[in-house]
Amino acid sequence: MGIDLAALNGVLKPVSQATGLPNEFYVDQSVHELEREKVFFKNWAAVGFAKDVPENGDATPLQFLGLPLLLLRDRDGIVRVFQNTCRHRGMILVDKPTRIAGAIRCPYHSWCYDLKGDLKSTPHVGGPGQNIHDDIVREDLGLIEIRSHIWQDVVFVNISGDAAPFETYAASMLERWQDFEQPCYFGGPDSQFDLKVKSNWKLAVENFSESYHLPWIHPGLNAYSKLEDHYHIMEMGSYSGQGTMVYNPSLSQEKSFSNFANLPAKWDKQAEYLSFFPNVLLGVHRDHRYAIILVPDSIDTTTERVAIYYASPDMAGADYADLRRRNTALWKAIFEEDIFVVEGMQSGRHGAYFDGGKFSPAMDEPTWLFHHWVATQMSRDPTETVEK
Amino acid sequence: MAREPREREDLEREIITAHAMGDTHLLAELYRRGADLMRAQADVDAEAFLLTQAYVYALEAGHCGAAAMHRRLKTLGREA
Ligand code: FES
Ligand SMILES: [Fe+2]
Repeated sequence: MGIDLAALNGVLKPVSQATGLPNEFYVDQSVHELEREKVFFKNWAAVGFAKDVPENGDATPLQFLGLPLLLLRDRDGIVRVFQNTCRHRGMILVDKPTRIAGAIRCPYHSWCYDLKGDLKSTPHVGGPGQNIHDDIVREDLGLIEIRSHIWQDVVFVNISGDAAPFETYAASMLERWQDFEQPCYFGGPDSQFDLKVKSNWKLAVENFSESYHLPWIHPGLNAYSKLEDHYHIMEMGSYSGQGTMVYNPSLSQEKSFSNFANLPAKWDKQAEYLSFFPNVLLGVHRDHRYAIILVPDSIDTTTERVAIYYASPDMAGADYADLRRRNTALWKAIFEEDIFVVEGMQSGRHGAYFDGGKFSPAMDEPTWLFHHWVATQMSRDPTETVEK
Repeated sequence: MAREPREREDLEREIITAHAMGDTHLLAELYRRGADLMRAQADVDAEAFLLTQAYVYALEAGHCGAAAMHRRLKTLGREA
């Protein structure tokens, strides 16, 4: 098993001749493990939201592709990601969301770390009542901090530590959406939900990137947002997606959300949706934005973590709770309509004669572009990836 | 003198209860009381042991006495 290089060459062809990623990318555990290193750890992947740790001292454990991480907000309000593993005997430090009043105390032998990761205390390490020992150099035994970057409340990590800086990695996306490069405000508990899907994470990316399915899967959406009003968004090696020319929210007759500041006129009616590789799906509209983090729980199960953000603190306040709830319900209904397709495509990939699929050059280019990116990541070092 | 074993037993019971409740703030105070008892008996090792326990829970709880405990342990040559 493993990766068939010839099949990857098929993915790397121009869209008109290309085939999609082979079945192994969705059903073969060994490919999933390579993907973990080459697609997720080598790049900037999303693991959570800063709003998950709203107050100083808040800490929450995360599992990211089997890697135990600890997301926290330190005393200075800085959001940090650590490996959630004690430097002594490797105990998990924090096993549930918690507010840390003082230090992180390991539940095993009580070594204590501050919220910057520094090792502050090593009780009885030199014998009972003796807390120092020449061979225990605390400066060398702080928590392992994971390289992280917060952008629009999304917490990205680069596990390998050697990706380009986030601003470089994301440069073309940041430029495309520079109009929206301004503060956004989380709508609160009524503006978030999780969907668990029995599908490989990539199928969620693929489905989000294309508008081809809209008339069939979202007929309600299509009533006011017709297929011909949509356009492809493609940036080789970074993102792909779609835009609409007819964004026209109608949640209420009396009330509407205020818009982000100083938006050019084109955003009156335009809205854009893109998959930022590898695993975050983003939407921007003049009055709200959202992010969906795809958590790859296993090769064939994914949690979609959805969070919606608004243009001002007022929009996140009590006066707009009803409108926010309606907006959340609208998006939830749309994303739920997609579940049976991503799950169906996952099942379909057990069809041994499926060859990765034929792309429509007119409609599937954003999907192909994502496959091309995955194939490129996976074949970066051929001697390591090719196994027969 | 006769009062001391009683006081120790009571304290031990309170400590066990505080552990069961996971009350780290209280644990810091109870262990410090234990350390004080041991100091009164000039049992430095026992004092340092209990003071270490107190200090760790004080650190965890963000107890305001943590810095003083740290100084005391340092004086005893038990902390960095
Ligand atoms: S494993 Fe954490 S203190 Fe021993
Ligand atoms: Fe959809």
